[in-house]
Amino acid sequence: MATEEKSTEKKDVFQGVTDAFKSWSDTQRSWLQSTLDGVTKTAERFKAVGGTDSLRAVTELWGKSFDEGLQRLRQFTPQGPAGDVFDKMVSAQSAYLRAMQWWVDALIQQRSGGSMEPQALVDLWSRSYREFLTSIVVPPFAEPMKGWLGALPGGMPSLPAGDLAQSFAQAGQQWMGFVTRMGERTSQVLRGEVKPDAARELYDSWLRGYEETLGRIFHLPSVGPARQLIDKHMRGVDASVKYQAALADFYGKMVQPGMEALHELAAKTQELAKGPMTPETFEKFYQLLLKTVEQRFGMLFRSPPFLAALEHTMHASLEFHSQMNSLLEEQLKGTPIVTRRELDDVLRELHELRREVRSLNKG
Amino acid sequence: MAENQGGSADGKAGAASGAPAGVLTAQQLEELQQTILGTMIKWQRRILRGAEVLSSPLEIEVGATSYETLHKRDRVELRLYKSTAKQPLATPTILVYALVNRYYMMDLQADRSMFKVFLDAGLDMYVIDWGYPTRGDKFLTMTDYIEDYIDHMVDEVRRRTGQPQVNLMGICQGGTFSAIYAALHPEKIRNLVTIVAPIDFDTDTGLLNVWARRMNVDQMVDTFGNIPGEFLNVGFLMLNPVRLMFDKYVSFLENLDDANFVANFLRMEKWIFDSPDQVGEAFRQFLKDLYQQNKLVKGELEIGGRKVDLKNITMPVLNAFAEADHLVPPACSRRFTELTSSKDTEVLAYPTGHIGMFTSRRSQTEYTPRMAAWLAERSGGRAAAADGPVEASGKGARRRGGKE
Repeated sequence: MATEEKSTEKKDVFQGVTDAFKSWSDTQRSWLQSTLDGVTKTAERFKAVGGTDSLRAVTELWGKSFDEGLQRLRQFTPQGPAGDVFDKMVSAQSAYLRAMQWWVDALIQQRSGGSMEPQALVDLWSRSYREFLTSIVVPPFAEPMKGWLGALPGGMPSLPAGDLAQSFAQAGQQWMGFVTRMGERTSQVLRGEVKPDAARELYDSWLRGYEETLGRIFHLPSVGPARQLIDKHMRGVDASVKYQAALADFYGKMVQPGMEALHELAAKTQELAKGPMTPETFEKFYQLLLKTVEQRFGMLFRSPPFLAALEHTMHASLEFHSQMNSLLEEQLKGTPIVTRRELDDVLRELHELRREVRSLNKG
Repeated sequence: MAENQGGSADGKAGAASGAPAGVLTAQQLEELQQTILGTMIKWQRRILRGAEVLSSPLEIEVGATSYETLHKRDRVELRLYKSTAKQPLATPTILVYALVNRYYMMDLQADRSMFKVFLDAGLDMYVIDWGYPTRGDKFLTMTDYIEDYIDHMVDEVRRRTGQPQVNLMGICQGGTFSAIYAALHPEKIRNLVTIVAPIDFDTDTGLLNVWARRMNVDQMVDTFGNIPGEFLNVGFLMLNPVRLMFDKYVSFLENLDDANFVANFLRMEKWIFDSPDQVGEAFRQFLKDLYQQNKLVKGELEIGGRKVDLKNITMPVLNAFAEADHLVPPACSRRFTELTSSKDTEVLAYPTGHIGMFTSRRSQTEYTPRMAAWLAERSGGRAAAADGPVEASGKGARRRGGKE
């Protein structure tokens, strides 16, 4: 009886993952919408040089080489049950390739004056993509996943599988919402409907999305004998993501003053261009460039938003560094290598002893 | 083809020839072509000559003056640069440099050496060399540096010379340490000289001060242990990235064919990036107590369990700072003498930068001689004839330079 219950729980976990895959496809709409906007915009620019044919030729060439690559990959199919999974994964890639080619074809037709409206195209793609995910991508993983769950020693006694599935589903739901918001925002950016600080909004939105979804998963309590190590790995990944995000924000802060400096430089250079072109002209331009950039960045480096970003980036960087140290120490436990913490304990003792001896000698 | 032969001699654009504004005439285009060609040829010559210069045996050793290592305590060395004057000053001078970078910046090469000026003026210079801290030093605090190392070296010099007092000369952070030491042990110091020394940290004129206030120093020290020198270098370069990471190297390329310039540049480059790690606990205290809380000026700084009162500084004080200093802005140094009780003070403000204070031409001809003269007037006269300069041979004697 107990075995049956456990089996049901595991099935729930699997169901949660499958559902997540299914609902994932539903969220692609906004991404597709933005892709469509981008492609349409690009296509407009292609018009003058007859880009349609080039685009089709490139797609076909890409498809052919991708397909050849997949066929070559099949030669490395491993023996045994893993070979079956491998084969299905390659098939899934092949199907994905066909879906992509179809999508590009449909886009080209639409741009060439075909009858299908962009919105209808997106809808059609959403449906086909969902079908693609659930019928082609998921099946190769289904059996191995059941097998892996079954092979776990004692299942997951400390964290009921039902709760795990629920947590995953909740996080997934938020993730989907986040992806939708991001897609909408990207669409707006591509259509030029938002101001330059949209990058900041995108960043904030991305970070919020991360913190509400994956970020939470990385902070879920770990279980089992390797709990400590898993915890450190998870925190390390989280710290790494946050560091990268902070770094992106930090560099993002440089973009606007950089653009402003270029505008200012362009205005100043117009005056310079009125005179003759001599090596001295370039020297003057160079000095102008230095002075302009120096002034802009000098102002930026003192500005409260930059100082906040600097502080935040430093914190994230040190946190990441600290997590990596902690992980390394954990891994060194099983080796005959002394860790920093252990060495520091000895060094502190030595330092205090030396101080005491000198104090006694002085006295 | 003559260099720079292109270009319009009268400096006027095509307006005179009737061409629309912003459009070059055929003649101007030809001039531009000639200019570009001329410049390209000039650059090719420069690069070829530069390749010759770089592959020739360049003299880029740093440290022009010989010294003798007299004493060692842990990693810290006491080095003597003996006066070259026939009658040196009676009072020995101890130099306390910053923990950041190395003191040989004051003696980069024979014609750019503060040491040479000081030694010629009769000063026996005893230098405290902090060395390169390792993890074993990470628990050293400011108390260890000031109450142990500096105090020990001061006593050592007093013992060796038989003089009850010494002159203390502090550079940059070493100036802060010297001021603190002089406040704690005024009886051992005859004259105090501080050069580009930060004392009052409560200013927004320096970017370093602004940034330091936002730093989570605890997290930094707890994570790194000792603060890597490279990490600090990035911070220093960020103070003015356009000049320090771009223009400087453009200038280097422009002078690639000048062997003297290249050698000077490489020596300076060596010094700039020869950056010892910063001892964790001392760094923590320096940033928190001084940069963030400005405790020295407020009279709240504690060293070895004692409050540091700058009013205890009663000996003559010479305070020199650079008006265009981007690392230690004048506001950090200017008020120092006012915070002491000394009746004999002098403040020297020079129109230069932090490094220019030590390596510029005016440093050789004007700033350093002035400081030497100030010390000479207050060092209790001259001793008997000296033995002459220490040779760069024999026990403990060596040329200074790279990491030892």
